[in-house]
Amino acid sequence: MNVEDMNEGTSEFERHVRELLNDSVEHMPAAARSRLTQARYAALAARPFWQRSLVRHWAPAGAASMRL
Amino acid sequence: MQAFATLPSQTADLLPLGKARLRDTTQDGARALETFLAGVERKGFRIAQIALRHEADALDAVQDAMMQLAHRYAARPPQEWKPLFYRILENRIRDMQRRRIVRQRVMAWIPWQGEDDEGGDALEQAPDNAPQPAVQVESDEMMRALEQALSQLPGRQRQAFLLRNFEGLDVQETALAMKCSQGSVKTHYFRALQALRAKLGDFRP
Repeated sequence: MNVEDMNEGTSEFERHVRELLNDSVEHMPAAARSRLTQARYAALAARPFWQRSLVRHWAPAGAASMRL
Repeated sequence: MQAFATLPSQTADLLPLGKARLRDTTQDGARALETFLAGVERKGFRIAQIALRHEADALDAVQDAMMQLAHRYAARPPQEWKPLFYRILENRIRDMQRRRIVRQRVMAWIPWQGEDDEGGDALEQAPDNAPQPAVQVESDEMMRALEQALSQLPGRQRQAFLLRNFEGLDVQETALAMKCSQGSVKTHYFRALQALRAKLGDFRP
């Protein structure tokens, strides 16, 4: 069996491994889930100001009008 | 002349609409990023946990990866986010592994290292002795064996295997995430699969 053969289809072994890993994600402890949610909100808040505001959309128009 | 006279009122009608549309676009971007992060955070956490074998470190790695993605790459097209996120996450994992090795070396030189400091927070590392159903115990044992086998793989093989098999990235996305060629991804995956089969044998959930 070579690399190409192994990458062609998914074997039973690979499916079993995936099922087990997916199962562990579904049964993740509530504390870890909660911490991940907090981390997600912190990440969203960490976006630069220009991405969070309308400045991003108005700046090119402002620059164009300045050039005129 | 008549047409010019109506212009200000038309502009006045258009402006609020335009503003609302722009606000929607910004909110759509935030919503898209939030949906993306919510979709990858758990698998990202498991990947980090398997590599680092430490829950708190894994949570820190995922949080750092999410922060970096939101801070630096949120303006990139959403289809690029997944490979970018996993590339950042793997870099954080490697940083933490390196730092851990350095800390272990330093600690080995310190003669007065007390027992209190060993292993970090005792509460966090205390075993969970809650009784579990037999099926759950069996599944947990398999999971432990799988985690151990995965964590013993070389980093690139583990990464290729988890991104392809667990996260479901295709070869091209995996190559982007790993910053290597598609051929290398296939080779790493093939070797990881061979090693896992050899370690786990007839492995059935």
